[in-house]
Amino acid sequence: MAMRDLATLPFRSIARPRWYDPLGYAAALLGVATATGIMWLARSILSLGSIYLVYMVVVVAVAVGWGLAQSIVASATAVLATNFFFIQPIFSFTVAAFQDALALAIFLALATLTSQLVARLRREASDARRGELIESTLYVLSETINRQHNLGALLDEVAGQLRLVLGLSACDIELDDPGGLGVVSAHSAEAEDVGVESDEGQESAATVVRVPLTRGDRATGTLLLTLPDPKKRLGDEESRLVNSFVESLQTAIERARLQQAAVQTEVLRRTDELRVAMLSAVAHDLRTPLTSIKTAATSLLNPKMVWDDEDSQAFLHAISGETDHINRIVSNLLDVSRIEEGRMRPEKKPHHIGAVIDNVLQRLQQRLSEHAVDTRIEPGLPEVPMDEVEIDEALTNLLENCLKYTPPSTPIHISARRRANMLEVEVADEGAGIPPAQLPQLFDRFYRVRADRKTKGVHGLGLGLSIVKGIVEAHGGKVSAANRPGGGACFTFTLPIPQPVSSDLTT
Amino acid sequence: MAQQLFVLVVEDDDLLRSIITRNLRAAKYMVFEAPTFRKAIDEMSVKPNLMILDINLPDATGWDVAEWLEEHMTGVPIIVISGAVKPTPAQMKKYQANAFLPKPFDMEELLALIEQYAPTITNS
Repeated sequence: MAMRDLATLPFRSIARPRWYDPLGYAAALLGVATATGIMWLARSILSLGSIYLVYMVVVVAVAVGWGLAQSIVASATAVLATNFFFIQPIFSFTVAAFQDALALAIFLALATLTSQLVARLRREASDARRGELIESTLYVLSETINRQHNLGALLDEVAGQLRLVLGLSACDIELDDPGGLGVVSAHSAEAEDVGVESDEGQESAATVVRVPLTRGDRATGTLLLTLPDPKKRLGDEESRLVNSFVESLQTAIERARLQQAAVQTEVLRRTDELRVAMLSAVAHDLRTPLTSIKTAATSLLNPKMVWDDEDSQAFLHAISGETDHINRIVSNLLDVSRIEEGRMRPEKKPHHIGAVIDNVLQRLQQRLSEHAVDTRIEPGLPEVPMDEVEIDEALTNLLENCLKYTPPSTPIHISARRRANMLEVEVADEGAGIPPAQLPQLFDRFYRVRADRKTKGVHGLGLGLSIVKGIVEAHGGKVSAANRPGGGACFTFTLPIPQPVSSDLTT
Repeated sequence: MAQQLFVLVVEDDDLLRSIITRNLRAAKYMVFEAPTFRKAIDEMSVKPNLMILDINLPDATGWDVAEWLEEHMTGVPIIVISGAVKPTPAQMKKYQANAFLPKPFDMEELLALIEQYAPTITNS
């Protein structure tokens, strides 16, 4: 593809007459031929003067429709046709009478003159139209720039407008990345141009014009104009149009870049805030079990105290239980970082969900002792591929969530069933439920349902449900939360049940 | 000990409260427990001789308890325990808190503080 600079930009035009337009010549020839045919049939009633007038109408029509070159061809063809068909001797290009030769010459001169006049009028009218179009285009552009604050969308719109106005086959805007904002580009092309790159004939016909975009004296990007035909040139208005586009574009890009930089700064600031909040939440969450461990251990170590067996056991249980608690916090944090980095890769083996639920319930037995746990596993459920440790973790988190948010002695319902090709596991409680407005954010990291002053104090990092989501999604399943009709929250996750491969596919 | 001292433990973490309670009972104190502000007020129908007060409560802050106490009775020593917030000297003075013990703490330290502040009541 040849490269040119802006000054030599060929221009397919905003309806500018095109002397090479083959359609115009075809129309000229067809017009003369049709007029000749009709007049030949009516030759007995037509005078030579009328014939000249009819041809003049054809010549003027061609001049209006296409331009000077085409109408001159029409004039010449009309002269030849008159001579051949209507001037004695007919069917020959010889002219017997002098006045016939003179008339032909006068017709040719008049036709040429008229063509010129009409063509000039036509060009002036189209120039005026183009001027209007350029003005309205610039208006639309400035309106786009003012309205559209998203850089990517802005470039898309501008590229599309520029392509339409200049009649380009494609328009690309590519921005470099000096400020670390990411390279942005926009592409607009005619639909039929999709195969251009693979079609050598078409490719060689196209010309790409590179217009540099700058800020001060530093290049910020490139505007690429792909022209459908390399032969035409850019008129003054078109040059000005492109320059105005480029100027406005540079301003818009600069503004959008500044805005984007501000947004990114804000994102970084919020991320930092989140990190600080997380650290303080982790610290608080670790300190609670640490305090119990420390006080229980120092109680046992205090030489002034004499403990009976029941007290000693209670302290030792406290130490052991709170160590598990800390361990859960630590593994949750590790899970979060694994999910975050996309390192959650379940080692799936077929397991029966009932067995996993039993394991979790057994491990949480003591903490669940104040709640009646009602478990319903649909009979005949198939084994489902899962990472047993991770699904155990997900179920543990869901149950701990129930423990956190529901008053003691309220029942907890666990159920598993088959729904089409999915295994559906549900953990429901009869607590206060979830405020509907908070449902969508429930599975977000660090999100905690705002504690009601009347409910018991809820500590925690707000990581549990986000971990459940990460684990389940890594298994190809989905999580959801809802309020039960009778009150309380209900969490559901699904795991895909593999479909047996049908025998006719296994050959 | 002729008369048992009455200690109110206001702490929302059940496990920590039970550990403190076991220690106080073993040290022959009479213990009442409250996991919330509301329960603390209920328990103060009898004036405690000393109060162990956690700052982070589910339904209020420990300072609300201290304020309520100040309005309704005088001369109850307060030992503040907290893991998250370290009270400012101004707060300690305003609510007449006698000591602050940051979590996690040594149980022996808490017992020593209780012993330090409790007798001032019995002597008066």
